[in-house]
Amino acid sequence: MPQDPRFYEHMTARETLRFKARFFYAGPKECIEDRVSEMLELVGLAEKADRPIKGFSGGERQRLGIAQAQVNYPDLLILDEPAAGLDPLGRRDVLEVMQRLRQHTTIFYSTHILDDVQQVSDTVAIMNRGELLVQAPLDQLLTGRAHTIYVLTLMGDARAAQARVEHQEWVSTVRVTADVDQTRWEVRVTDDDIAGSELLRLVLEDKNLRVVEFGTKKYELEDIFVDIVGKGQNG
Amino acid sequence: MAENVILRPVVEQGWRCGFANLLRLENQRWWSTRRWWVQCLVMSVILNGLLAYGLWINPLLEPGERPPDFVAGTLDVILIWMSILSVLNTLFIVQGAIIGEKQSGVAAWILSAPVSRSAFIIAKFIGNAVGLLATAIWLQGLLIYVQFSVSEGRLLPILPIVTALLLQSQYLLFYLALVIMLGAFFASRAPVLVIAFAVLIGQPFIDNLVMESAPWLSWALPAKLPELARFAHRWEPMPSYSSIVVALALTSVFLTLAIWRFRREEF
Repeated sequence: MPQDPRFYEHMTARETLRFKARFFYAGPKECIEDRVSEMLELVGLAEKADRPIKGFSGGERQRLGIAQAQVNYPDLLILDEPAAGLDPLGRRDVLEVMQRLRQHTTIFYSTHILDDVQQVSDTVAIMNRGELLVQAPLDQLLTGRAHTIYVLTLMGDARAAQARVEHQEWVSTVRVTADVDQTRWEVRVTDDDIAGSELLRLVLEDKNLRVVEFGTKKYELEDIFVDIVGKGQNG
Repeated sequence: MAENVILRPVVEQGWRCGFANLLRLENQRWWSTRRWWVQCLVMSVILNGLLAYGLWINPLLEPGERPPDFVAGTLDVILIWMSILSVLNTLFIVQGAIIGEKQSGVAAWILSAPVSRSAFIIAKFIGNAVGLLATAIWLQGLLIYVQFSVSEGRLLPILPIVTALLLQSQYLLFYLALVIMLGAFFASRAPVLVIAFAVLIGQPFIDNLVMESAPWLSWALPAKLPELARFAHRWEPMPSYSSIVVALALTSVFLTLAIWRFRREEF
């Protein structure tokens, strides 16, 4: 589906889907109508099904575009910037449709809106000037690539615990940021399995310490993107 | 989602891929909108209104004997008007048929489905041909025939009129193919209209220039088809058939060029 899908303005959404469906299916007529209704429901346009497209908003046109692209149940749906240029509500609606649709088909889409990617994607590929720079499951990309970083927020004197942790073979670095009454650690580890079972236990050996927060560091996709593509370059 | 098993897949292949659906759409544009009756009304008011005036009102205003060739003479005038109006009608209705869809992006959308580009052009030609011929030629021909028959108090011979209408139809199809070809070649309506009008207006000039020196060329012009229609409805031998052959050949060439060009169009 192109970024700005175009249709016959005088047609209704139902007529448009019926027209598109007939390129793939010869009949029976009632089954085609069922398919059309199903697609209208899927994209949330059932109530506007019989209104001319010329009165549709940008978000509604995008949803109709997705519906007509899905009308023959393709294994792969390719969307070019499906939420570009839409207002927040239109964007939300399109992303909801994509969320529903991902249960039924593989969606391959391009976008510059990285927040959308985090909402609806399983796997992300980052390209720059036609070159594929990275491709990975979203979780893996957000967690970090080479090393896992654990984030701990502690209350109390953490110096002894820090020394214990730094002596472990599976710990690369411990970056400490001190606040008024809290200490934040970013512990980069080389073995995620051992760290997952040992790190918290090591810290809690110190009875005076309170662990306020513990978990692996989550990156925003924008951080990853800027890191990979480099500041000042076009993505 | 529901299973695909109940739906019967389309099996069209080659140039016919998507043709039936596109032709259905073109037919709907003619027959499921107000276009057909507006065209019928406009053409009927002008052509049959003109004839009705000559047959029914004028005799009341100027009583007298009808000249011996009244029917043939009146039909001459009506057929000339029919050829002019039907061609103008074709130019105005079809000039945006392809360009409009190229400009709006709808053509690109349609071609994202399993559709051959040949089917796109052929469906435009056939769909518009049926609509234009039905409303501008054959319905008018039927009404003209009925009016003359009632006026004369007898059924006129039908074959001469049908032959004349066939020639008028061929004339219309020639311009339809021309406009579709121009639509495939150009990106805006202006050159389409300018060239089509140049062909329309230029042919009588060429005819005047070569009528004496090269009558064979004069009779080869598609613009001679309405004149042949005059011979046809009088059931007189035609002076030449070259314009029929040339118009047929040019119509085929125009459509072939339209398909050739449209296949190379970048969307």
